Amino acid sequence: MSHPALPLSALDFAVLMALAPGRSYGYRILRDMREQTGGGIELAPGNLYQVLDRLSERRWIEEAGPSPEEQESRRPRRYHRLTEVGRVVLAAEAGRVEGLVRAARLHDLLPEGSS
Amino acid sequence: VSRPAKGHGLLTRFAFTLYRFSLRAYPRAFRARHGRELDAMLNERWNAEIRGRAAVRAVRFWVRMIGLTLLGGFAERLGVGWGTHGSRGVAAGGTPARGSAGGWWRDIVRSTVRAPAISLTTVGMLGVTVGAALALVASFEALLLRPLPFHESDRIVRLEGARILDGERRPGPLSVLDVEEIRVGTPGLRAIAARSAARPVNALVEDRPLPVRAEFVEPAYFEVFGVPAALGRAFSEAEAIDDVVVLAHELWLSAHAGNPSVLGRAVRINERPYTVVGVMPPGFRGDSDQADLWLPMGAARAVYGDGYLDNRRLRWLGGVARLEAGTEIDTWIGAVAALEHRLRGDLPDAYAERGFAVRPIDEAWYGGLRAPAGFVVVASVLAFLLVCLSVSNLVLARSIGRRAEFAVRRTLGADPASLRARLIGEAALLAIGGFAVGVALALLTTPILGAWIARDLDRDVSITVTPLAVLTGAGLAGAAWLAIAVASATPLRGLGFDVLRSGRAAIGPRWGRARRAFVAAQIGIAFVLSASSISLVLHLDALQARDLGFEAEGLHAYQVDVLGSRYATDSIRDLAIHRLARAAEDGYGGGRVAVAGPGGVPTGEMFGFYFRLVDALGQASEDSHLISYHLVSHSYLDIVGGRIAEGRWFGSGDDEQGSGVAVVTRSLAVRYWPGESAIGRTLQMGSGGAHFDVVGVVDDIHYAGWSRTPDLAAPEHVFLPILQVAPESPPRLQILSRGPGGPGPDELRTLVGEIDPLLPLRSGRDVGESLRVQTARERATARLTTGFALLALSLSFLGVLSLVTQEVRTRRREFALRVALGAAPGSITAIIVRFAAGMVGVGLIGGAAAAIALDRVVRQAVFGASLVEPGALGIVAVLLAAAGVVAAAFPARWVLTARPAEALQEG
Repeated sequence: MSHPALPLSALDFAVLMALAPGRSYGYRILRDMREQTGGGIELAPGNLYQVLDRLSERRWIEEAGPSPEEQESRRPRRYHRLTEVGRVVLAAEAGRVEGLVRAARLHDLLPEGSS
Repeated sequence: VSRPAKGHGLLTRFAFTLYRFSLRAYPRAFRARHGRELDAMLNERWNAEIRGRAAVRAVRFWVRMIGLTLLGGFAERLGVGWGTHGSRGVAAGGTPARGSAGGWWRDIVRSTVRAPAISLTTVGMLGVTVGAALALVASFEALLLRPLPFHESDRIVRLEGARILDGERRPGPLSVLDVEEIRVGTPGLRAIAARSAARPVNALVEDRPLPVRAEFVEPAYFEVFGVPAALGRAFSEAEAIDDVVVLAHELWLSAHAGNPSVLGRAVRINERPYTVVGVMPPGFRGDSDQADLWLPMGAARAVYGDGYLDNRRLRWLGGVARLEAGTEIDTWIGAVAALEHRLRGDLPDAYAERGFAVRPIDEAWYGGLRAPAGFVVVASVLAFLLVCLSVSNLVLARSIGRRAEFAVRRTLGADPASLRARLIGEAALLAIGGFAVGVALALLTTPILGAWIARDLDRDVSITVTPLAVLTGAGLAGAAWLAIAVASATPLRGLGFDVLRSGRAAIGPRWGRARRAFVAAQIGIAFVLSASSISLVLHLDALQARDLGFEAEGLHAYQVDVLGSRYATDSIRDLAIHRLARAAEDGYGGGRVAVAGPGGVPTGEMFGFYFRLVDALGQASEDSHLISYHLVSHSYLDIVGGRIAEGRWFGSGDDEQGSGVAVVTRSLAVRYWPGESAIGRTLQMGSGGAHFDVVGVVDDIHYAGWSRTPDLAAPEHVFLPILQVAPESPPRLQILSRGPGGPGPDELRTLVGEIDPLLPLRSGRDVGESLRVQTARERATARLTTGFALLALSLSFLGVLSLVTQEVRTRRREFALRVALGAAPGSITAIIVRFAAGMVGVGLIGGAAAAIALDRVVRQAVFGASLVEPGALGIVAVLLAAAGVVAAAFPARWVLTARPAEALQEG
């Protein structure tokens, strides 16, 4: 599978991945990204919003209203979620990375069973 | 923007404030759109992850957040997206992202901003040192490398007198006839001229009184320098009249607004009119580099009296000469020595203790400044070397951390050459950033530096960032580029599949040793710089702690020249002087005022007179002795802060009615009456002049202050009551006032005005300030070296801190296990301190060895201050060892306060 936007930068990929389970907000996106990359990505809040702005411009993500419980918490949070286009791009990039990982395993670079 | 949650400590609040301030790096629209989230998100992360944990973690958090915010903000303003291409461990990178040079550079920029702490620190450190180097070079260019404003200056020499005392030659002045002897008695001269120092005169330019300085010069003066007048003419050899004046370009601009019709107009100097015949070109201020105007030597006759031109032994001048094209300076100096020898035989009265000294003009101008300047340059080079080491150490650490990333890039097909090019590009970016910051700092600081140096040297100095300075800065930035590129590329050589497979992406012991060696070298350099700084400060302290025999602080001196046509007759002049002196004697200004003349002001000009010693039978000696003399009022000793050692000081009976009395300094008493009391001895002023009985001896007063000129520093002086001898040659009074409480210039002007409303009072000299000017060079050298030493100490401290922190992080599981197994906290601390002590110890030993090796060079260069004074070495060793201990203590505390279980789980 290929897409003209590929390959994605690591940051774009990580942000989209953090939004894959559903809507999320600033701090949770940041926390999920760090967990997914094993602490490999460190961002300040401003940096994250720069990336979110860019992804919004490409219409890969969009703002989403809070759920009723979240609304009750009265925190000043802005929620984001993947658009359909974003989900397609993310899947294409994941496929590309999977191909690379398969190639690395063939070269005996990764032990069996690791992902 | 919401405020941080309540309950935060002061430091955290401060960090939040800094963070909020750093958000200003983003464009306003961006802040308006995301401001609330940016703040809330950081608050949430702080509370969830950092709050209540180790302080080291908090510091790292804030450094990263603020650094990333600043860089992100600037990237946003520049339109460079954040994280649009490749990042650690995923994309191949290393090649232009979209195949364009712009894309490649953007990639480099992103990679650099991804390590904000390292990038900002590197750019900051390089900026500070490059800026300092730029400012130094600009200063040296203004002070030392400025081409002399003379034509063919390698053929110009400066002449001085030499006083030979106890077999030692000390610098001294010349008389007009001394210069004439040299002119007649040495071959190979094209032109020679006597010149005075730049002396303050009372000038009335366009009806405005101006404090200006004049050089009295012989006609050939301008020919010696080969500088023609920019307007009109200089003095001609055949100048028969003495009432002409040549103006410096600067005075012409300020006083006459550069009006060419100034030629032929009159300038009143000490109330006599002088016709302007010429204006010199810009930048030419004479051999003193301070002259505002030049008067023919003959004018000194009108100002000071005949003796100033006709008396061979009245020495008050210097001289300059231009040699013929074929004459070697050394040959000519030999001819002057032969002349001196001949004169000593022919005219023993005038030359028994006198000789001549000759120096190339270039050395006379800059000789004294070169050695300290050279020392400061060496210190700045050491500081730069140290910064290069620190920066290399930082990027080396980053490169070691990027071994895994680069191994992956290589595995995914990145070309090694393009990976190298990428590292060189990143290094270039850091070096360019450092250079830009350096230039900006230099542009900001050079005007301040110029004003500071001008004040210290009491000279007009304008410092600007010159092409040479920029070139030097670029050279240093280039050297830093090379160092950074080598340090960043070396750990990544030969990386490939094998690194990933064998897990050698972790830090190898080889690189750990390299970094420790870097830090040890930093400590060595810091040792040398700190030892130099402390030695210089101790030396300066010792110099300034010398008892000068007077109290400089709060002492102000004002000058009154009793000159002008109204004072043409001696009796009127004496009356004016007498009335002023009497006012001081009668307690004017609440006894806070003294009058002296013609000298008498510490750090000011001194005057000598020939005295003879009178024996018990009243017979004056054959030999006369040139002795520095001061005519003073009774209050003088008290106002100056001198101390009587033996006998008495002057009293109210020592006036024109009383018999002649004198007080001498202890050194003078020892020289002329060794082993005996000076009290009761008699001095005769001049040949057949009045007698003065010595009634007291005062402790030595060092009128030259801290000046290093030995002749001036000899504290041999005689004091005579001003009511018994009025100053005649020159007829000058000094009014000394001690504040607070002493009258200021306005009150003194009123006092002088009551005697003669037209008698000008020259603006005051602050003796304490004059004294400080004398040690300006030492102070400037000490300050600059101290600045470099502080930089070196901080960098060494940070170097040790970063290495120990890294070591502790690498071994955190081991330490956690030890703690879990019941190891005493002391044993963990001991391991960490031993690790730091190794580096610090090697650095200290290396630094001490270097200091000992450099001592002789430094001693010659910097006023005899020794680098290996035990005190200085001891202080530095303790300081650096303490810095090492503190640098080790932070990470040790971090280990001891961390929860072992957490550390074991993390691993």
